[in-house]
Amino acid sequence: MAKRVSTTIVETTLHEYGSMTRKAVRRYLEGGEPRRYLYDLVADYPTRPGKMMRPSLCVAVARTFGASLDEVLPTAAAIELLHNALLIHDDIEDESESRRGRPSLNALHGVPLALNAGDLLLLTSLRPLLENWRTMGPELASRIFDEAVRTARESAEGQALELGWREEANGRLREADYLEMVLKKTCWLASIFPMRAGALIGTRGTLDLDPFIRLGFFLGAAFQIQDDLLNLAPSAHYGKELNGDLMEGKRTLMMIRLLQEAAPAERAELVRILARRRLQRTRKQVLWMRKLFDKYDCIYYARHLAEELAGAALHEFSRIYTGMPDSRDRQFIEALMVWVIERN
Amino acid sequence: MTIRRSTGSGEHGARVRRARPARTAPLRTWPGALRQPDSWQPDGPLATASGTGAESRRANGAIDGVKLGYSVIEEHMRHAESVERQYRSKRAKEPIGGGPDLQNTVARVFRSVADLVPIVGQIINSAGAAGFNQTVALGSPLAVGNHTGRGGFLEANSAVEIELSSPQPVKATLELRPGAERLMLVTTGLYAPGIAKPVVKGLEFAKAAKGKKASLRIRVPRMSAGAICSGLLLERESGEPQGVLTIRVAK
Repeated sequence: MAKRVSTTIVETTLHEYGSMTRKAVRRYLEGGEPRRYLYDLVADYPTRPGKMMRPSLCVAVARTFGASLDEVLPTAAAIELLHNALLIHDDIEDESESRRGRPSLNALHGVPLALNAGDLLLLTSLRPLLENWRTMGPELASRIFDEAVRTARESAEGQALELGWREEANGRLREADYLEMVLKKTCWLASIFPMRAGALIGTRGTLDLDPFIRLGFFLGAAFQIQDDLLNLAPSAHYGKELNGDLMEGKRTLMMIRLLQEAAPAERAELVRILARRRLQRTRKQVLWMRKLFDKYDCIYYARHLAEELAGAALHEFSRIYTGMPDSRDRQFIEALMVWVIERN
Repeated sequence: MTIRRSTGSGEHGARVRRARPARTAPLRTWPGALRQPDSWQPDGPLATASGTGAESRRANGAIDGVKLGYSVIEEHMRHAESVERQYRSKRAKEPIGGGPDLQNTVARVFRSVADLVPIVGQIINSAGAAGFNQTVALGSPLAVGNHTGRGGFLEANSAVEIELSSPQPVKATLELRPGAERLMLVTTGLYAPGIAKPVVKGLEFAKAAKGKKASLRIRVPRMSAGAICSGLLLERESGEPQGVLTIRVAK
């Protein structure tokens, strides 16, 4: 019987490290003019309530290897700023209407102003990384900077895959395609970069970082599948629009499964609907696709795969942390593997 | 499984039959063991048995997520390595100083000036010295790597004396947090990746005292070439990590 992992520590640690990171982030969010058209927009997403998983993971990993909070918080702030900048760009590209329980920046202010704010936020995320140069020395700071650059590249490649599939109305995708896209689009920023940066800081660059790619991938992929599942389930805490992914025609794992399993006539209709632009898709079509998810057990299927990936993440975690002393940070990271698929 | 048990009374051993194990393969659906896998709501009911039926679902056309996941991630890492090799090869062909490389230039200029780590020491015992004890204080000519401090973290004479004993050439790297040499440090041993038991256990640390440097004695057993093991140095009282010790065996 598998041991039961308590996820309570996840909520408390996310709250604690999240608050510290928010405080660190505020240092980089300047005021000034034009406030209405720029600086208020730049500060909008970072001040909305988010999970703060990325920076918390970075802090926790760094601390398991002996780093102090002062050493790691600037990098955690950079990760959070980069994440928020990419969210602005994602919402524009996906034509999303809501984010973290409020209208998206593009919905509130239009695409040009939102895009401009996203650009500045992206550049702002470099500031803490440049400050690392002074506090950590050039060798370590440049390695963290390299990690950030790679993360940005991987994220852009993942986003390009997803947008390209939608643009081409690609209906012949397999699970491996989905996982590769998620690895690039989600995992690098959600878990791989935070953990690798944390390990770099904690060990001063003496640890082999490859195992964190495997751990981060399994953790991030399980996280993303759960995120896609939550998009289909009504919840007061969920900050995005219900069935928003279906409205956007996203190639989620459920959609890829549905395209494989649906009857030929249903599949043809699905491909036709997915080829349309978001605004051309009707509420009725979205609900029809949602019903097909149930008809072909796509939700059940995705949930099962997420559980398998979370199990693999736990295995990779034990490979890295076997022999390391127990600590609250270590417990937090371990519990995160369960939390990602249980959260609502 | 059949076990022949000796009764010790001269009779033939009785055949004891044990029930077939409930599971003979890795449990891949471990969270499902905690609750029903189809409990869509996260606070769904707990399962009473660990049999989650994963295999029967797989028979219905589902894929092995773990196997697929590993194939995706290993391919990603192979590709990244190949890109890195190409990049390095391209860089090697560039003439020295032929292109602006801000990162390396800045790194070269500042490398000896600043480093966050207050005390970093590396000791490399040469092939000729293998098998003999070496006592090296950080700051001696044998100490390789940065051991300079920043912002007053490192006092000019602060040092840790390391006594290294190994039957083969190894490199020891010690990194300590500011002031840690004055604490009573302990370690749970040095571990190699994927091995549950500590590889190096013979570690003794004596904190710095008046007029006396902190000392660390390490006895390294024979390990395979290229092996690496590391471990945390913890403050005995609080258990707070204070540093990392890494041993690398020469390839």
